[in-house]
Amino acid sequence: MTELAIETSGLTRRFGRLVAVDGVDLQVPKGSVYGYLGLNGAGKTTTIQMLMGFIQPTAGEMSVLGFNPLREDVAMKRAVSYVPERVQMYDWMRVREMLWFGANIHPYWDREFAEHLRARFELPSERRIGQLSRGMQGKMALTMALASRPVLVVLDDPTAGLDAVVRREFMESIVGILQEAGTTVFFSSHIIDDVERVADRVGILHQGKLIVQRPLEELKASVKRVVATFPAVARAIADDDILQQEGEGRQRAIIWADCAEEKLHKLAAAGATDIKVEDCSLEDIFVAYVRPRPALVEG
Amino acid sequence: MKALIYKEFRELLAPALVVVLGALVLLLVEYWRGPLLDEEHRVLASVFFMLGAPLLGLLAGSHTLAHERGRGSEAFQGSFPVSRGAIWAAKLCTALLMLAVVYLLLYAVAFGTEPQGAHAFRQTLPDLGTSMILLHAATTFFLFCLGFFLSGMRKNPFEANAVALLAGLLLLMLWMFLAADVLPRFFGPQLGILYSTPSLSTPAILATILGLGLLVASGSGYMASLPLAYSKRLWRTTIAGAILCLAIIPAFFTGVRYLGEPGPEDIGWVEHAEVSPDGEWVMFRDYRDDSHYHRLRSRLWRMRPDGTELKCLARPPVELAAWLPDSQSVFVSWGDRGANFHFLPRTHLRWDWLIEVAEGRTTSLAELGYVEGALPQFSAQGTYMSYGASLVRLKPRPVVLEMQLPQKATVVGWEENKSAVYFSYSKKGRLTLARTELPSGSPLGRAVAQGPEEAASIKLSPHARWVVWETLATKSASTVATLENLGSGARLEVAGRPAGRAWSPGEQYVWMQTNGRQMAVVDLAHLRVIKELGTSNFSGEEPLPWHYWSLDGKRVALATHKVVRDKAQSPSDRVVEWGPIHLWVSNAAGSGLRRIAGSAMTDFTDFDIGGWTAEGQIIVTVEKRKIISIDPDTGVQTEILTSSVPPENSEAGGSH
Repeated sequence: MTELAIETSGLTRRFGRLVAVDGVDLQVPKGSVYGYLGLNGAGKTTTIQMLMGFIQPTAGEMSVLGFNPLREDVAMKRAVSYVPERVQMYDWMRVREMLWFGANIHPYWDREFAEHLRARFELPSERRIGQLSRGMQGKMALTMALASRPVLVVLDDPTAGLDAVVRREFMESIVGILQEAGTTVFFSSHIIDDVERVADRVGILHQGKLIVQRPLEELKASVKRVVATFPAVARAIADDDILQQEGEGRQRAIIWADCAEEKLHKLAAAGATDIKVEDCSLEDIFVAYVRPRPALVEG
Repeated sequence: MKALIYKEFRELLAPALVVVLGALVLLLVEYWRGPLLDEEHRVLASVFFMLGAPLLGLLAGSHTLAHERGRGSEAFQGSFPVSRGAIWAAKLCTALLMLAVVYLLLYAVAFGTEPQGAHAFRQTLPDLGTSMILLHAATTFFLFCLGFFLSGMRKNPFEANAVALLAGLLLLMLWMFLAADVLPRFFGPQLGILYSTPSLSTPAILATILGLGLLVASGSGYMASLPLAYSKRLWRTTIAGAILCLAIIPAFFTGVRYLGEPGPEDIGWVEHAEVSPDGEWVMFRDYRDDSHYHRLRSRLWRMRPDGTELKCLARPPVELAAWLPDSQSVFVSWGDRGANFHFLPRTHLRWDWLIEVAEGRTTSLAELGYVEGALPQFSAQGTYMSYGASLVRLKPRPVVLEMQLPQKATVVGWEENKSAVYFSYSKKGRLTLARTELPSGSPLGRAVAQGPEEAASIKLSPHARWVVWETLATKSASTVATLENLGSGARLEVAGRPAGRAWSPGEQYVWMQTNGRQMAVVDLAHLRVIKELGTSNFSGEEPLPWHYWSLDGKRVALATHKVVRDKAQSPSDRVVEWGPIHLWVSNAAGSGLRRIAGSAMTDFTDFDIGGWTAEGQIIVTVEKRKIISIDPDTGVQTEILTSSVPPENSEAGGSH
């Protein structure tokens, strides 16, 4: 557990009959940027709220930087910064006041770094928070999260509600600063491009279950799209590792979770010609994992 | 914690500023117009504060809890590396701080900017340690917390009908008392106090100003982010409630409360008609029925000796009223002994006033400290007054003197031109008369005389020329008075004691009452008894122990009645039977004694002399239904005031 910033085991949260988070085993290594993916309502925010000690799990165990979030939440939050989804700070405060507020709340607040971030994000000191644009408010929240020099930053869908331009700018800011600071980042998002741009490890949560958890590069190296042409009209291929397959006429496109050499040999043995192996984007992989699989027809 | 409190304080600043502004307005009004809430009382204040507490809790909670949820900053707050307890403590502490500031302002307004108000406020401090105050404080705190946490039940507490209704009801209650107390100040008599009803004017005024302030602030957009900005339901509830309460006020306690000036047709049972020292005015009291309860809750009136210029000076419950020597004002002790609230033990509410008799303007003396049976004692020219344990300098404006007298000391007189007060206390078992000059007098004063070893009480003549030591002769079990001249030290021993108003205006004579049946007239210039009057001088009747000197000091009016102590001769079979009362007039030296021979006089069973007018008439209250003026020379009676009580009820007031 020592090399892991976050570790959970069988983390479960039920709301009545609804199982929002179902036996999740998270492993977030220290120093990593972990993208926590899922559709809306998949259980990402519930997981984060449990990790921050806001709600109690129904079952399972969890450890954040070695702290129990339920019993040691104050000690944990000294080392962990959390930026909630659509963060709403105090509109009446000026940027300058907000930084003063943060300095008096956080024991490890770095005033120089806070000022550096404010200047880098071009946040006007005398402007009230309520007068800042959504993007600027996001940057303000990021400043508040990072100025306390946290070991771990937890971001809950930080780009939600931002337009494309602002979102890109915001994510690039995160990447830049985190590269400088070497901080562990755990962030949830349903915007796959954002995760692919900055994450080095991803987890995909689907209907409360963690269905994938791998380093991003390893995942992308493993999941491939294979396009093959068959002598006759192609029928669906039965294989547990196939995430998605679709075809038109004699041609068929298959996304394999673990595209090993023997899978390609198997295709060739079935008479397939002109076999092409293509890389998948993270979005393709995510969609392949979370889209319902069609019923197989034996070929 | 500092940052959390700063944040909560800033978020509560807007309503707090409105409250402060409201209080400043009230204090300015008070500065120009006099105290708004003269009748405020500490016990009632606690009750009002308890009633206002949940409303203030709702207001405070709406800003610190509901607003946090409403704007969605709860999650941001949750990211702070502080415990939830610290966050809640900061919110509650700030809210309680606001509560304390509001209540201090309420106290300031209630007790006023006058020195007497400060004195009254200090008097409340010892009560802080009593279980009653602790009970009120605990209840107030509980209700405040209830309102505070209730506001956190919803995103915006005023979106919930039940909470809006609660706030509306509280405001309605406050406004009701506001209307009841404040309106009569402008449209009614001076002491426009809702009968036996707690005053809630100050919280009402503050709540109204707070409400209006928030409404204006919301309309101007300044508080666009605050929950009250869009709570139209609250305004609708309170405005409708205020209109309703205005409609029901005149009907509230029907027959007791008036929005207009009461007139002669309202006068109930009358008693205690008393002529002013200059003989120009007559004041009297009336009450609504003859029960003991209502006799302690009378109104105070004044009129000219011919019955004109009738005016109600004070509403019930007037307990005590006395003329000041200058005849310009009356001292009124206003209070309700034994007011019984359902949720509180019996309380004793009191306030002391000076009322200018011509215009009816009032000046508060705050609470002087009630002493059962105590009457105010004035210096000869009315500059000083003592009442109970309190010393008051009345001129140029009333100030309660902070003078510490020895334990169990009693003020017995004043020396006007030297601003000196005389008081008696026991020193080594003997009564001692001491004198000290105000305002910086020594608490022990300078002993000026010491009474005989067996002296039981001490009196001083109005002009502080004579001291009277009263001793009980053990053999005869009768009182013996020793008169001592404070200047020369000359003494005279006389059987009996000086009765009420016994000293002639120039202190040439004093009338002594001997064993209830006889009188002795003492010539003070020659220090000898010049006349003894017994029942034989009064046609076999016994004199009552009160004497009324004419303004020129040449004549005395007194009353007698026949007392039958033989049960066999008593027509009612009582052990002691009092007969009808008769009025007599004598000259100052006790000679020329004669009974006023008015035809109706012999029928009176209830009879009260009010004094001599400047025109030489004697004012008398008869049967609790009439005030009459009697010419002592001719015996001609003139009815100057008649009660509106129907004659068929008159039997109820026939005892004395």
